[in-house]
Amino acid sequence: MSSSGDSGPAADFEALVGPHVDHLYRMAYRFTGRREEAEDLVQDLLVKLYPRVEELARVDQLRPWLTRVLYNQFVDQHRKRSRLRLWGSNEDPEDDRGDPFDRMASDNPGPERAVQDRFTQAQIEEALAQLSHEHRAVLALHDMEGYTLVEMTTILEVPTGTLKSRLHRARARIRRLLTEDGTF
Amino acid sequence: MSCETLREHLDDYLDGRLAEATERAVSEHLAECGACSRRLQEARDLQGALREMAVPPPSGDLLERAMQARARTARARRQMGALAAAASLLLAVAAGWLALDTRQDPLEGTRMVAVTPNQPEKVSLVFNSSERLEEVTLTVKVPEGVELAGYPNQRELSWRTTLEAGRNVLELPVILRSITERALAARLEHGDSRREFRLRLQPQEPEPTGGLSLTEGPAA
Ligand SMILES: [Zn+2]
Repeated sequence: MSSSGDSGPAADFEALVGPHVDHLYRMAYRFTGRREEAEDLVQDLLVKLYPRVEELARVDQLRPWLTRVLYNQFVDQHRKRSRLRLWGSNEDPEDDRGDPFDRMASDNPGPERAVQDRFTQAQIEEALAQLSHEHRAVLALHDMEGYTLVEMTTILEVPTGTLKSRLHRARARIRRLLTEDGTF
Repeated sequence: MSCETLREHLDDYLDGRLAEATERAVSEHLAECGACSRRLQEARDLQGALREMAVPPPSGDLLERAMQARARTARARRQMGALAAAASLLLAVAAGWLALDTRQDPLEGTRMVAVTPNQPEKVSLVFNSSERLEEVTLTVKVPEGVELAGYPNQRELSWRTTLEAGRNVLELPVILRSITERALAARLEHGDSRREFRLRLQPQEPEPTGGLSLTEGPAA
């Protein structure tokens, strides 16, 4: 039996999870592509995890564990949301996306680099939004956040072989979405 | 190596996952084939762009906000538990209600039920849901001239609940303290979606009445 009062477990929880909240938000944003959704996702997760503070304390590698739980929660909500959207609650278009970035990393621009100038952050976000959550997640983890396939197996709970082909399919899909001619 | 084969190896080449011999063959093809070099460059550009996708900062302290939300939920749950038990508010939950097709929902708008004034009447709200929905907030607003039996001063009730797939029934013991019509308002919220409807309570002469099922029958 734990002692009375909220400060004990609350303090434990904050000490355990606090260092990972920025990371969770970042990943949530990668998964959802929307700040508000990302914030809600993290907040819902934290509320849900709070009663499990003792279990959290026993987890060996908390960050990948939390990222995995976050991903599972994202998949759950994504499924519901895609159906709920049908009678949509008038979701506002993002207003916090900032300006499209027109200067992407281009260390060596040449005559064939038109594609880079063609992609704005908004275009990429739009393309990402059309991907399945599985495809989106592999691009988020691997191509945006630099996770290795091996690291990703613990988060997505899928073997590396599957992840690799999923990654390739996801890339092919986003390339198609981003290029009208489909030759990319 | 053909252009087609190269295309198959492109991602692995980008990621440095090719065996040495294959990698060499790819490099040789790239040195000679402008189309494939362009394709590679485009793929690299896209990867660079993905790596640089910005993440806007969160609007506040998410941990702190979560802790506050948790405290609020815990408080609401305690209040709700006591109320639900005492007033025998029965919430049988049904799911999928919020996952509607694009047709007009039969719940939308106003329904009417006749009740005898000044005595408890059970009014059933039925929510049909095509799927299970967790974390649904159900709010019932009680207008002046209407009481929930046992809670004369309760003007608003709010639950966090789960809607199960199928029929969800909420029975409310209401007392109409008015000789003119009044309307109960109910609101369901899930995620950032919400639905509202009203139930008009019309006074009638004392005679037995049943509850009203709000969801039977199609909209059209
Ligand atoms: Zn070629």
